[in-house]
Amino acid sequence: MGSKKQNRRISRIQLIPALVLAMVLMTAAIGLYEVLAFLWGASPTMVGFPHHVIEVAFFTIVAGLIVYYLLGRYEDLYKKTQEEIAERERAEEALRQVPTMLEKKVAQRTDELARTNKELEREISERKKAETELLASKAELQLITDQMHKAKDYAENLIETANVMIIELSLDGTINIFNEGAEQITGYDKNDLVGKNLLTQVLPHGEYNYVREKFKEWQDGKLLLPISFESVIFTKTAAERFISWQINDIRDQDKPVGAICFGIDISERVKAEREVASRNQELFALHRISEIILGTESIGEAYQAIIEEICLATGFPVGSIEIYDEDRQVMVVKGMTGMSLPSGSGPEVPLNRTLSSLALRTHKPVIETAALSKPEYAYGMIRELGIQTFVCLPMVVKERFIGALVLAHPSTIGVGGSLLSLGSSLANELAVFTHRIQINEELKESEERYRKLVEHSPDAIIVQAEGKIIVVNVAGVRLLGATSEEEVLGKALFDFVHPDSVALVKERQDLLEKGVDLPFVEEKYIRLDGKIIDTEASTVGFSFYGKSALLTLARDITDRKQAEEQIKASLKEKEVLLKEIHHRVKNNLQIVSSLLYLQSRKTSDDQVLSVLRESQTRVRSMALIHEKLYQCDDLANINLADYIRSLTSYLLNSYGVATHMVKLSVNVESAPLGLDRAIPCGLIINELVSNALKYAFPQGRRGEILVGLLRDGVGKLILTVKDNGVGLPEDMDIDDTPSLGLQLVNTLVRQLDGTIEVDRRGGTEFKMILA
Amino acid sequence: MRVLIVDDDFISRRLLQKILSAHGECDIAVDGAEAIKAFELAWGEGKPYDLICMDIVMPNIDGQQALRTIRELEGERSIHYAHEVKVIMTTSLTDPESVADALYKGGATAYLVKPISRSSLVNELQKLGLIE
Repeated sequence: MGSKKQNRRISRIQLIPALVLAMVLMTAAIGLYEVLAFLWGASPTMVGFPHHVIEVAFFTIVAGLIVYYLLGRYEDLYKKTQEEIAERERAEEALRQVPTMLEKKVAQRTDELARTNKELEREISERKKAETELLASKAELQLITDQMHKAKDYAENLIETANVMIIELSLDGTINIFNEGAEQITGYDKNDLVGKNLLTQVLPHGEYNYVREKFKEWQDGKLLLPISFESVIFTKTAAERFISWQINDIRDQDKPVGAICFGIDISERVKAEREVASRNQELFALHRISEIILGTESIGEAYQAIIEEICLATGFPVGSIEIYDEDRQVMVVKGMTGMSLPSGSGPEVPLNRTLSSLALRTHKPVIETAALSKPEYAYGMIRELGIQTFVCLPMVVKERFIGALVLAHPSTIGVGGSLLSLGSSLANELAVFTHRIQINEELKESEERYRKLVEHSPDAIIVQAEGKIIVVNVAGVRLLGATSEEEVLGKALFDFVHPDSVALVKERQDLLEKGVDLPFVEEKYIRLDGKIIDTEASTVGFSFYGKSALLTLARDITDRKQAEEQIKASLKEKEVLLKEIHHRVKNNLQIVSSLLYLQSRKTSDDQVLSVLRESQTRVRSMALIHEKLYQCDDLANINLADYIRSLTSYLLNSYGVATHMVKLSVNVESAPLGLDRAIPCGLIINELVSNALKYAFPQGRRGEILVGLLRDGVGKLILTVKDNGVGLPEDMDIDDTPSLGLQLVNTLVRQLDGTIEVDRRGGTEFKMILA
Repeated sequence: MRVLIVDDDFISRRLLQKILSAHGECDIAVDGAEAIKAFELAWGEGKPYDLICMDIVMPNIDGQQALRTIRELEGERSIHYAHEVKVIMTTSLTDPESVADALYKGGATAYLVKPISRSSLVNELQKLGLIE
């Protein structure tokens, strides 16, 4: 109820100002009209209408509008007032509850405020953070942009300068980018190729087809990139280069628009691989040749097979292997392919008709690539086969020219290092093979020679190893009394040694072990058949097939030994006989001498006496020699010293000279002298000493006689007979003398190829130099 | 494998024949004209060559000309490249300098420089997939 009252009161209050306002507005409207009327008075369009009609209409409209507004306003006011009243009533009601609600609200508000505060704080901090982050990301963005610029520069730089071909292609194969690397590898200028089709420019026929196919597949979307492959390209100068390609798509929103091709030049690698392959082929060729050599039965066939193999391995259609024969000064063709020897000629070719001899002097390969144009080669196969290129590779072992390998080709071709190296290896292999064959042949010959020597040796040759006989020749089998080798092989030679020789053999074996080679010595053996034989044997140590062995050479000397014994016995017999003869000769001469003595006693004539005595002493001096001969062991030689002493003392006695009157000295080297010379010497001494005794010391004159026999430096005998007597008569010429004695001396000296000198100072000295 | 050896020099042909006969049936032609004839004949028989080894310098029709003609003949028959005959050209020192360039543009599959050893030829055949 209270609220209704309130409403009414408010409406009353509000109605008054509404009326006042309406009046004011009306007054204002009238004023406004007056102004407008004044203004419009000048307007021609408005002129014509009566002023009062317009005024009445205007005021009616304005009044109506004002009334309408005021009525509406009032209605609104009324409604509002009613609502306010109701509101106020509710508010009054609420006010009654305010204290409690207020408390709640306060608490609630406080809470809310706190929450809001907190949120606000958070919001502030987040915003701060966001601001910081924004700043950071800005810097980052700058950095990324910088880096992107750098990367772009780098990539461009890389594309230009990398030692890699980088080529960008459009879908149709047109070149867009052609970098420096590509220029360097291909030799083309960028401007030569950009805008042109890659495929038709640098790919060889075979590669072109393959790449074109792939390209088409890619254009049709059948081939997915990236792909990698290797191909050959040709450079601008038509050289081959091997390229390893990696090709990637260039896409624009998932659609391929082109391709980027990276190409790495792998020519060096391919070259190296080819080099390795060629080395392998070289080894393979050498291996095949070794196989031929090893598997061959006949050397002639081996050479033929080898030259055919070499021609296949080197690509030369013509080849020959020629071996040098130094003795005959020819090259002997051992194997030949691609040509034949001229008809009617053997495998031996004179040095000046063969190419192989070209390398004979220098031992170096000789290479000719334009032989047809050189007059010096205008012969034989060069003309017939039209050879342009030939290579002559010497086969040399230990600096000795063994022969040559000749390879020839009808075209002018390049003989490069690898070909030469292969050829030289082959020639070396051949040289070693040939050298070995030659050595083998020489060895065979020498072995055959020695084998024959051993087989046919008249002396036994026995080889022992580890104490057992391992080799024995025919003479050895015979020596040991066997009928075949088998009977003695495996036995020890020592078992055949006779007990008499065991000690000697053992001693010699010890010496052998010390490495002493032993001279021949006589040893006794017992043969298999029990017969005892004498041998002369020598043993040396040597190496036999790597084993230490003993080689014994033995000769059966049983027969010789017997013959020797017989000869010795016979000699002894002869010696006895000879002594007997000398004895008898001496006796007979003695008898002659005694007869002369007896004869001399029958006469008193001094001259006859003298003649008889001289003859007697001459015979006696001869007899004395025979006596000396049979008295000593040596029947051929006589010891002159002994003889001269006996002779001179006999002469002193014979001439009845007292030893105290004439002293006889003998100075004789103990020299043996043959009978044929001893007798003349004895006679010379006899004559000269007799003369001295007879004439040098007359009337009891005392003196001395000296007989000397010496050998001078060159082996001549110097015989001197010297006395210090009265000397020879002044007028006596010893070369022409009636004295038989001196004549005899002269004759005998001549007989002995000697000379005689006489020194008459202080007596007489005869000096004879006898040859 | 069917092979045609084209060389005007007897002993060179002989060596190639020796090497190749181990890998297939070999025919011989002594110049470019014979080579073209042999090529056509082989197609006619339905047994085309797998490989032609051809010298460059030859009388009558030289190797390069013969090669071009053979490729043209193949072109007329619309032969897929995979079935084209492999042609190895053999060159010596005295051949023209730009031979390699001319050869591949003329349609050679490969070329070999003389002397042609067994190993170099066999390597090439392996590379071309003609032999294992």
